[in-house]
Amino acid sequence: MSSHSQEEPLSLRSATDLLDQLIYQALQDEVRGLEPSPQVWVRIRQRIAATGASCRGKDATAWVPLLRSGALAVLDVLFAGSDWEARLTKHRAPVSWLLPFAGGLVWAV
Amino acid sequence: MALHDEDSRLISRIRQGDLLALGVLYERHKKQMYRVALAITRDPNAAEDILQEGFLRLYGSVDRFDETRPLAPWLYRVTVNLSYNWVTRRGRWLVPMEGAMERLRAGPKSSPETVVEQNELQRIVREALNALGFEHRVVLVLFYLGEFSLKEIAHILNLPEGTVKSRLHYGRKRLRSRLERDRRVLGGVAYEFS
Repeated sequence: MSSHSQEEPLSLRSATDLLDQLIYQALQDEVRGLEPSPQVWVRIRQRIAATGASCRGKDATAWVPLLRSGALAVLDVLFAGSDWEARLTKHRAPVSWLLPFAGGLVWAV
Repeated sequence: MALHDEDSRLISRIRQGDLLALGVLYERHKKQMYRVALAITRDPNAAEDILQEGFLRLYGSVDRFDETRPLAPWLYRVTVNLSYNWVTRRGRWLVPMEGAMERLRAGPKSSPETVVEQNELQRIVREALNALGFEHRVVLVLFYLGEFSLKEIAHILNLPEGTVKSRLHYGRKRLRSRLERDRRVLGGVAYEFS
């Protein structure tokens, strides 16, 4: 046995609360470096779009989010690199963002 | 509290149908919710499903939220409930502790180096944690990993604070007794747990 282990036999008795440290460490070890994949958020959006759950709100533009969520992935592809989304506001008329969408479809065809 | 205020603002936007606000809220809470679910279920796929379902439930019931109250306890209550459903459905709980200890004892007697001993100790702790029942593990996960206070955990689990304290105490006590009982696995090194 090394002299080191003679002097410090891993008792850690000087630690404030060894058990707390061990529990904390063990739980951290189980989740360290793990994060949800980006697909989780994609699935959430798809489910909302599929169920129509996004048709909330009480004004005439309540249907906008549903269309928007459904078209979001397409817009992301068609206008990759542009700031189309930044130009939109939730109060702007749907036509203001449907126009570039329609234009993009024409372009794609 | 600033975090609470920000959540409240996002909830208001989601009520208007703003999916981008839901995305921001998701980014704010996804990591911790996922880790809590993962620590309870010990299954990455299940943890992702629970995270997904949790946010779908949030979106579906956003109109009923009281914006004056913090969102986080609601999110973690859903996380715990969904985790419980998953564990119950799969019947995956209570790994036999004795078997785990036998595997440890039968394993190669490594060198007495400190690092090895610490690894062994961590393994024993993880096994002991996994042997705890759901209700005790959940409290430990929320307390140590979620870093919630006893009062917050009581709110999340909808239990009296005294019950949470009791479960935390019981969970620690069981871990301590198991660790002390099996300390010979580590070559007879004396450990003392407060």
